[in-house]
Amino acid sequence: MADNSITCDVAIVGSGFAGSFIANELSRKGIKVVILEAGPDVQPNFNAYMKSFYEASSKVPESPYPPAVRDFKDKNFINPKNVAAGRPSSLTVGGAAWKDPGQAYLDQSTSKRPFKSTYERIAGGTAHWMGLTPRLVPNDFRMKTMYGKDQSGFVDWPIDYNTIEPFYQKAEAELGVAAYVDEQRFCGIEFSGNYQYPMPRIPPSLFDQRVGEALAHLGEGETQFLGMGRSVTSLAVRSLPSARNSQPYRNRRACAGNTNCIPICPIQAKYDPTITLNEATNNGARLFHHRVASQILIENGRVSGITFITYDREDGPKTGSGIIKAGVYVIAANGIETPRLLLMSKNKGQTPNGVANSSDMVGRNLMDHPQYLTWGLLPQPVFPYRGPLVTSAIGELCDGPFRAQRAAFRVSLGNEGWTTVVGGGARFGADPNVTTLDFVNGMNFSGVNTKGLTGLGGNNRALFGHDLTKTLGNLISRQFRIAFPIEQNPDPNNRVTLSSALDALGLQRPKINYDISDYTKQGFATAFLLKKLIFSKLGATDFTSVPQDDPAAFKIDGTPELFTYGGAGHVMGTYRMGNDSKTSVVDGWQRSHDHTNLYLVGSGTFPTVGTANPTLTLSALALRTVEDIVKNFPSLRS
Amino acid sequence: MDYGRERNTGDTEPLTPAVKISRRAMVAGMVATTAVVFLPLSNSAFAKTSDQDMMAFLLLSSALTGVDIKTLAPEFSPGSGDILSADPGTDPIDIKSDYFRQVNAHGTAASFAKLLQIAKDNRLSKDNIIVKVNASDDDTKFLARSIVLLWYLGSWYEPGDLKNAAASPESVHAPIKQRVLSAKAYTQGLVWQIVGAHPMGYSNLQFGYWSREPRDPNSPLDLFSPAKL
Amino acid sequence: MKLIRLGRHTQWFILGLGLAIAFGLASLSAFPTPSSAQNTATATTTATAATALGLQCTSMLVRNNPPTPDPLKGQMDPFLGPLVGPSLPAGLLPINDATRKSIFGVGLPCQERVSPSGQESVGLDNLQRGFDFYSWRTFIALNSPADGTPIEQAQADAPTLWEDMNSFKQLLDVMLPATQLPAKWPTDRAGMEAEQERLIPVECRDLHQKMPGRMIVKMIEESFNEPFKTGPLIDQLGHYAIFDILMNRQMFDYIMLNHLNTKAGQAANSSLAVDFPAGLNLSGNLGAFMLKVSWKILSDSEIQAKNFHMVKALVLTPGIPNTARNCLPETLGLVGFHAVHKTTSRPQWIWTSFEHVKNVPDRDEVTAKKFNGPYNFYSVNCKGACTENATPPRPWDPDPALELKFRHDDSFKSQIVRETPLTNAAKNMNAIFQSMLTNSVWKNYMVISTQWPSNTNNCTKLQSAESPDPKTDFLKQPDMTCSPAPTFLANSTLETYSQGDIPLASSSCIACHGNAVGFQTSASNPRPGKPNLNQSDFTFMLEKAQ
Repeated sequence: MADNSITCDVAIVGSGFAGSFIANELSRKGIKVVILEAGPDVQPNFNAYMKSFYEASSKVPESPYPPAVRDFKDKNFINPKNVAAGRPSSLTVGGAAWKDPGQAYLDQSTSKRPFKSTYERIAGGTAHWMGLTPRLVPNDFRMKTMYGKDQSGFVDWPIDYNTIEPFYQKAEAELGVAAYVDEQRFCGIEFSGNYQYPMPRIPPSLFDQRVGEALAHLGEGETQFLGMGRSVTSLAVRSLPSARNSQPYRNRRACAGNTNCIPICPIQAKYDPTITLNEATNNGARLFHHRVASQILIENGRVSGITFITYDREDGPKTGSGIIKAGVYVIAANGIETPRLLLMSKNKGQTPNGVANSSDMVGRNLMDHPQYLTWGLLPQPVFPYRGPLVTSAIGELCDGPFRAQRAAFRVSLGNEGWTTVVGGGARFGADPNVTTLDFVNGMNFSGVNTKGLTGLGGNNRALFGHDLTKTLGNLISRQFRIAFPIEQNPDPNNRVTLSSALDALGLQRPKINYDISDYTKQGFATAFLLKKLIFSKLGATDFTSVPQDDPAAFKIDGTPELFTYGGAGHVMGTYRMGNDSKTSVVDGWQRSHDHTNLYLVGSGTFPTVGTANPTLTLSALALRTVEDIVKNFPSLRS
Repeated sequence: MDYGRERNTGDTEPLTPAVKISRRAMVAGMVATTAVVFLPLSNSAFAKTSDQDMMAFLLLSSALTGVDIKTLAPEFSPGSGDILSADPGTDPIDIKSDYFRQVNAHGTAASFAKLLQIAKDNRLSKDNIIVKVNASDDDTKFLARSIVLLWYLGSWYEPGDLKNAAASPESVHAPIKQRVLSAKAYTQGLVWQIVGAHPMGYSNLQFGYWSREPRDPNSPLDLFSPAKL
Repeated sequence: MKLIRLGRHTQWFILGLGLAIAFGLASLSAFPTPSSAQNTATATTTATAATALGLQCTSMLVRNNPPTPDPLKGQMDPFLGPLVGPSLPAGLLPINDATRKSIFGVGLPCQERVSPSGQESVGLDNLQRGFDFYSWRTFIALNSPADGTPIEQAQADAPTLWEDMNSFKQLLDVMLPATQLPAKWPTDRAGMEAEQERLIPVECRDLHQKMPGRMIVKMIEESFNEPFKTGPLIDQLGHYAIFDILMNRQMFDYIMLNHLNTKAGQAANSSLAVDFPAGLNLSGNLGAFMLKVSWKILSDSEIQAKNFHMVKALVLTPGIPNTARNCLPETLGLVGFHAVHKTTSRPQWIWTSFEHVKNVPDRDEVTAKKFNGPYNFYSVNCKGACTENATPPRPWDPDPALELKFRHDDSFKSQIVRETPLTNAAKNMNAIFQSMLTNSVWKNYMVISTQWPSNTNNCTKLQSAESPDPKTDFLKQPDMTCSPAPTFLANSTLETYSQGDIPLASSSCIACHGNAVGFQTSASNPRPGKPNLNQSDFTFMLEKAQ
């Protein structure tokens, strides 16, 4: 069979978390699986990725991975129309570039605010993830019943926590999650059976310990603003469950604290989907890389095939095309690329609104976890830049009666100092470069080269020698950052559509319209108050700031404070699950309401997003989808 | 007695000129260790890296960075005579040669010459080196800053860009242009050590270390002395 | 400290040898003894008897005859002239008989002897030369015939010292499932044989009856899939290369004494800072020693040609769910040899690697098309799948029906190139040793390099007042790899797919093994005054505990 006409039992588009998990489970059962991957193949080692990362001037999440974002010679942004399988870049989510489709992959030219999250299109998918794997809490699945006022847009999931719980356990085994169950029982989280996580928890960092001590004894009055509906006299700092080895696990090394989870763990102590993808191909699944799915074909209400385009070089052009035919089709291309494919599939006018879209919900309800980023200096050194990027969080604020009025959030403690936030949000580069430059070159982009902080004779001092080591050693070792990932409620006007801007294969790129709601902004307002409380208990000096021209910047009615948000890298909601085919795209098993042999997986199926990183949940849902496939298509196992 | 640790401390006879071979050739011979490629340095006053120039560079760098010369050049051995005649040594990573070559090729020859001369003339006093550098002309002073940034970050910042940024910070709206010298150079950046950490993406430490202070709480030295930086 | 001259050194050691043996016995009685139900009263005598068994080492120097004059400046090999140049110093070869006999007969070094001064101009080159000489001495001693025949007369299939059951034990015979009685290493040969018999897999028992005396190789995933699942290596005859891991008695004793042989045992012993015993010339103690070897399944004509050291083996294929395991009689040829030795002066261990000379061409040879084949893992006239250093197509698991052939139609054979050529110094050292082995199969082997921790300034010490600025993490919790020299090292048969020069991503023995941990449930606490070394002390063996 030629490589441009493929037949199999199950065709999967996308080899990220969901695609690899499903491919692995199905191929273990002897089912013939083919995966189409838009990007390049699995690499034999990390040489190329690590070289790319080490040599990058901006160590953004995509820095190790292809395709290139900047032209090698002139350092300008490569026009995405000249990239075959492009993806958004962290370098083009702000400034002037974000609205310019000549620089940014996503067309946000008519968007109110920038959607700041990015993803990868390579075998293994978004390997640049942080590795955090908290579960959603029970109330996250029933937001409408518990808290939903009509304006919030909340809906209930068609499944509940108890249904997904056994699949959480299975997913945690495949990912290799390190945590202690005793520490994770909050907000209703329970563990069935005598479950223990696969590995002991990752030890907390010095900063985690410092925050835990500072928040161990609080006055009731101090925490009333949280609206928890109960007295809060302490806030527990708990290890965050992570897909990060704390012991040897399945032939992979334990974490050595490279402090580089995003964008890449040099020793693969952090799980990435190539691990499961390799198991899948070892069990007979076949991976076809450099194949971009271009259209889902519909005949008689069922998917009859998926066409794809092939290419060799990052800048294209197209080298050929083909079609894959299977009994069952799974689209696992992430929360932006999946709706893009569905909407592109017009079937010569037969499906003018795209495939699987009778509800008109495909592409709608795009959600992220906008991050309220705060940072400061502690009075004493706490030695950041050590250990995994994030080891602990305050999780118990993620649920409570307040959710009827404002968005929930978690409090994520960062070990990476000011690397992503210095100078008003990495505008002048990342730390330690910015602070080092300040004191070598007599500038003050970091905000710390002031007489008051340094104890030196004046502002903007330029130093050499012992003064320099002493000052940097003192100031940088006191840096910390705290991020509040804040829930977004569904808004059908936040959506992915198709742009007239094309990529190098001639396909329409995704167009984004995005904003954040008052509900979410009120979450920021409360997070702001919590920040003040935490900083005061820590004795910290606040350096949080927002550049005046930040396109994401906003104010909240009644307060003078200027806010902005960062992207969490979570792309959710755009083909949500539900029981009602008029208001949802897939059912609780992630099967399309419209086409019985089509499944759509990944965090695009989340009807609401809670405050947990989506990877664990989407992996658990993928494992559950496998059961539905096997049940509904028994002839696959011939 | 520990035979594995025979080091040239203090009393070693200096290598006689007859035996001594250009270190460049020596280092080039150790191709297995580092991907060091020797490019011809045309139009440079320092086409040949003599030990003296390297020692001057190390003295200059140590004074400006505040980092001990033994950290900059792990195989350095002081010898018994003039420090300029000491052996800078060759270690497996040999980042000092990469940096010397970079400065040589990209700093103006005149400024680099002035800096090396300042180091030679003031080799007994780090403070004097700093004073003289601060008192020199702009080209020289900003080249000195580029050198510090090389050691601290493994990245090259053009002295001209530094000068423009220092002169009018309000004109800076984006990160100052820099080029990471190499994967190796990034992993040898010193600022991370200075703040008690390691380069992000390059850790040779052991699991769980982040849960403990960088300073060993069990060491008797630290029970009584405050954290010194 | 004055530079110690060769002469004085030698004198001291002639005197000291007798002392060393006495010292050695005294200190060894304090060493861990095999864990058993024996009471401690017998432990000392057992220890004394045990020291006579197991791999022995020597602190003796190689003698050059006639003795070489002072220009050697403290270096420990007897070869006159620098080796870093492109060719051997004129007149160096042939090495005279007496010198050769001394090198080949002196035995396994207890500890390295290296010096930054010597016949090279750069200190680092002298040290590297010292380590490469120490590695060749090690290779010769371990591969000398177990029956005492001199190595230069060894037959290709003469069992070697390291293959003897008194010298090394395979990892899988130590890390037994908790359902089996723990491993033991008796001091008498009958006892050792009985222990081997006990652990012979049921699938191999019949063949073992018919073909006694064969090496038993039990394959697990790591026996065909390179570390961290980077891929199998397929030879030019279409067969999997086979990897095996072994440890010496001192490593074994430490593991058993501290209950590190099971996961539960490790977890229960979480306050232990794992610290294997280390070699020391002074005491004549060898310390911990581990081997990793790679084998090629030999064809009949290869067996006839006798270009490989050969071992008759019974190979138990790896267990794949739902399939039976086969026990295959094969003749294995040695193609790769890692020897790793912990010494008191190099607590990050010393890592050396040898290969068969015909494994692969290097990058320079491929570019210049100057081949010296035929090669074990490269085809000069490759047709078909010829991407260099590509991992094989999946699936990787051996198909039991194919009996360790990779594909039924031989459609894939690894096409491997050594990315980093050997240095001139290594090539010259190899030429010298190969010239002394002309009548032996061992002339077909070469050292790739030796990796050793180079920075002993303050690297393994806890901070002291003398530590140079900045007094920071690297000095307190040191960069425990201590600047390995060379920075990267890969064996083309054992680290095939991670060759390169990118930090952490490319193969470096010490950097990678620095990440090795076990199943202790807390990071081991530092002890004042002792280096805070890695949790499982640079070996991945502990993670294989069940």
